[in-house]
Amino acid sequence: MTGFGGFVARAHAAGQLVVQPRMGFSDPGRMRGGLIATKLADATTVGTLTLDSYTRVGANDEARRALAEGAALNGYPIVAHDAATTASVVEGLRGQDFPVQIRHGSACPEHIVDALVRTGFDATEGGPVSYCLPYSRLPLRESVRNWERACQRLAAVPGSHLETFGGCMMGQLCPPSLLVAISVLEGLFFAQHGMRGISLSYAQQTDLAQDTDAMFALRRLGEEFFAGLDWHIVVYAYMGVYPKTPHGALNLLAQAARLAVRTGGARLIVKTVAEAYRIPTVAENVEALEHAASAAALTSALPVGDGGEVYREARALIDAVLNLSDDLGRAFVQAFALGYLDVPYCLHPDNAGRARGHVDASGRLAWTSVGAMPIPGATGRSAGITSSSLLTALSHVERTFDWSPMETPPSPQQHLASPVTKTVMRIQDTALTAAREYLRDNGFVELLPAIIGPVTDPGVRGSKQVDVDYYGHKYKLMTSAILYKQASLLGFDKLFYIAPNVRLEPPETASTARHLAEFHQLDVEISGASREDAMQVVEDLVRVMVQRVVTTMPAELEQLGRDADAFKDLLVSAFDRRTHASAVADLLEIGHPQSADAEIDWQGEEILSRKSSRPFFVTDYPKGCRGFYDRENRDVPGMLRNFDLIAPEGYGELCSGSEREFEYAKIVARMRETGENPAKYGWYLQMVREGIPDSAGFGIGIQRFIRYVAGLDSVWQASAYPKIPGQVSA
Amino acid sequence: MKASGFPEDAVRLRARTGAAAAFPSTSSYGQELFGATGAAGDAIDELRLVPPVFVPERLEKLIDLAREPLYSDVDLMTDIGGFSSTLPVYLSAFGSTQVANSSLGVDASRQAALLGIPMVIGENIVPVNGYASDRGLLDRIQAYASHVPDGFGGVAIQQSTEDADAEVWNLVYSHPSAQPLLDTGRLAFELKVGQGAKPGLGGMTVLAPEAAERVAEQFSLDPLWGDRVLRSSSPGTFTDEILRQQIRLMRNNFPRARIWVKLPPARDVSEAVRVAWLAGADAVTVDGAEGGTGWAPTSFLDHVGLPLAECLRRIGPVEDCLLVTGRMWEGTRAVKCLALGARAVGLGRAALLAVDTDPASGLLRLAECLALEMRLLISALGKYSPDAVSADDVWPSTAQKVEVLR
Repeated sequence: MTGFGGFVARAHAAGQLVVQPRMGFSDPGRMRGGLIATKLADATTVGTLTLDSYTRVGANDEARRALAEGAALNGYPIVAHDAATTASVVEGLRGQDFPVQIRHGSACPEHIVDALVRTGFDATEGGPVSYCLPYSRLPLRESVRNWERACQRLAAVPGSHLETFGGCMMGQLCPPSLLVAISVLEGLFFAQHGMRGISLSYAQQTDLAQDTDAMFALRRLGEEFFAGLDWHIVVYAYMGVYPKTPHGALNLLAQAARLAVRTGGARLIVKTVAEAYRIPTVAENVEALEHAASAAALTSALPVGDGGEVYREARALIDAVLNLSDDLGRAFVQAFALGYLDVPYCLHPDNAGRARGHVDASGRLAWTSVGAMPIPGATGRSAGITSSSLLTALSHVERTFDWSPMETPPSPQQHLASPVTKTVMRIQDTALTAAREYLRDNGFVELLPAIIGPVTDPGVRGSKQVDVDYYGHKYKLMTSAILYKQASLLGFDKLFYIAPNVRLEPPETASTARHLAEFHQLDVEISGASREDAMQVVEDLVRVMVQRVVTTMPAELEQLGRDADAFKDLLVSAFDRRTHASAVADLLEIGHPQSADAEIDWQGEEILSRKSSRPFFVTDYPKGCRGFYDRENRDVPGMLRNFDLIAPEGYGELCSGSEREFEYAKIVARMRETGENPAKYGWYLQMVREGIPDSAGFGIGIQRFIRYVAGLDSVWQASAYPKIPGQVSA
Repeated sequence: MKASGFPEDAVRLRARTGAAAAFPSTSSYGQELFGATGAAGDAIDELRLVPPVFVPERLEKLIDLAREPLYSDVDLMTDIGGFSSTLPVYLSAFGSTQVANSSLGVDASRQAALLGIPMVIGENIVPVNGYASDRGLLDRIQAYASHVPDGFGGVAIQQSTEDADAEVWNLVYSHPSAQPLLDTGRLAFELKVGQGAKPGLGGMTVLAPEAAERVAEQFSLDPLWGDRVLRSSSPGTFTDEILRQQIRLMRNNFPRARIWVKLPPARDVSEAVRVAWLAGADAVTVDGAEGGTGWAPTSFLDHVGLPLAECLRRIGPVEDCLLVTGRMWEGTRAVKCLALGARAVGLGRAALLAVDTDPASGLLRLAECLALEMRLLISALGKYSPDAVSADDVWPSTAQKVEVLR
């Protein structure tokens, strides 16, 4: 086999999933750059030229005019550019080891097929139904005629390949059986008009198990109908409302890659983290290609299934359409006129528009109404769909992935042996070495932290302490070193720990990418210091650690894909300082519901974090969101003399610190204000009553800091032995 | 010696038994529920509900229904502290006393769930009974969660000062079994500041010495009786700032839970409810001095704390969610309380007695009767929802009672 199909078949035989972007630029140089980046990505890739909207609707003169005016189009105008220009875009790139496919979306594709054949391409995508109903007002009858001619033209090219877009249609809320049926029927239409290389598509939907059935159904039908042809299955990463968080988008993409590998899919069209907001850049596409490839590499195929209910429904639909006419084009037109095929929520005049789908309680797509479709045993719900239930259904995947737990760590063996973990641990070692040197040079003494005690930091935000039976008495594992830090001031003016903490955080924090049930803090306390003194030490420490890593480990950062330029600002400019009140005001202004007398919530912190190019301090948190030990401002009651350090780029909080309460009566009153029972703080209160120095200090979350420096998706990747809230692990 | 006209017997009892005489006989502990003894009823009982002749709201309902409205058209659905309730009624907290420790607590939870009304779980259950033990917190949560209809009800979990050591709220908030309630917005935490039967004191139970030893680190113990020990919680120290900050901290730490506050019938109750609401509490419960209890010094039952009527008068008409408890069991007292500003009423002793009468359905039947009475009374006032009744609907029986409504 040669050409596009042959390349995919060879990769599939070698156990590699072919990954492919959607990518199109009107500027030839930029287009070539995109293809080069795709080819060089650390993945088995094929290239894409996605065409622009003018070309799609046949408005080639407008496309030419825009090019002449230097306006950027939303894709590559293959008809408007002359053949020599297009040849120069792919020169030296396109070949047996890197096929390039033309993707467009046109119901009048003949001029496009002419242009692509003329410029040496042999692979494209489309279909009389799938490129007409969702996008075009053109009557289906005309689209069928256009595609008949386009197929015949393309089929004359040896090794040519045509992919049906039938597995996507409207992108969401269409139960899989109809997608599978349209995909197979369009493939049969292609074959009827001479195509020998065909790919059948399926777009990832709402439920992995249902998608798995759908893929097996498609595979079984492919074997039944396409024997003797060069065919494979291509998966589209989810085509509906896309997750807005990076981890949500990446997890959804990884799930699409796993779906493909498990079910025998040979190719995957990726989506990027930027997809929810805008057209992605080349770099974002490369990130998506590599992320999908690495997820695929860790996945193996499942035993082949029979496609279950999806197969039965799809087969019934296919048989009903095939029985209408031997001419598949005519059968399509009749099938839609009779409502035998009826795409939910599609407004095209030739679509019956009686079918409705919904996301059921288990997250699967189901029929609300099948209209006149000959689907056996489908009863559907009778309840109507309201606009709010429709919106909820449309955002089902977005919500699931934005708020789903991060991908869980692999086994301890895999995690510890992974090159990423090894590199991250070496970065941590370098950063901590730099921190220790800096602190020692500045007169700090390192103490070894306490592990258990009768009482510990009461903690914040709903995390539970761990009880330890201590000779019949209830002791606690340390949630932070704060009480012992203050006590240690009796012997040392400047001290630090690298202290382990255990906090049983609420299970919901498993999805924040920044909570661990067990983590470490670089804990510092300075006798007689002010908040500003402490903030200066934090700033110096962070800069010293980052500088050491950037200077001594550039190769490691590059290996992790961390751009060293991310720290340019941090290394040369002072960290900005802003108050909690101004941060709240900013968030309210952009419509984020942030309470003025509470901690800035995680989403709010991420929003602020994304707006900055270097870490910044937030100061003056209100009482009522922090522990009793953060000192209240004597001049502004209700405001604390404390601070957080927030990392840029969405990484969020790295460090909390404060001047400390040290006067006995104040501490007791503050304990009551935080709902604590002073009785259990016996040793601490006795010590405070006898007098401890005033101080300021802070704790830098080491795993969070390393996550930021290494640019990791989740904080668990920065722990050798990650414990994710709510998950049982090694 | 005789001393007629003087409480001679009571003095002699004290002379014989000392401090133990400050309490009811321990033989009644776990068998009896206590409360104010005034048999004639209180100021609320003396009020009358007074229907008018002219009923504009009935006309509105008539237009809405296109037929004459009946009592069955009263819609009792009420928002109680952020939860949807089928009735303006909820199940009050039973603490860790022996009465509530029996299977009655679980039976009451199940029936409250079936009714679709919220339930409060009392303080000191975790330190005394444990979390997952029989009849512990988890059993009651599970009994409730597995019977409550979708969209209705909710569970409020109390924590007192001693409970803070056991981290009851942290425990529940991070425990998988509470997640279904959290995910559906049906979990609240109630800060217990005090109670009606013994304002100014913390929770009290009577324990056998061996049971007392197990909790000696958390609670104060007083060996008042030869074979039994008095276990006391502290009342907790509050100032307006401490109350405000505790509520804020609850909101900060448990953003997905509702925040409730329970106040005793204190003389500054009006100021305290306002501090609580301003700090963001979703509901404030005022337990009148008529409130019941599993155990209290007899002196407190009849002589300490404001009557509920006076609490309502001092608080005045409010928009926020005010919940009241104390001798609630039938429709007239409940509707009068709604008229005087409460959003809903809590069933305490009545619920326990009902479940004791029939563990399977006693509370369901009590609520059925209560709901019917409320519908009859509210419709008689020419109104068709609990929030429509107002101070105009009650009549003070004496000039003295005019004070109640001022």
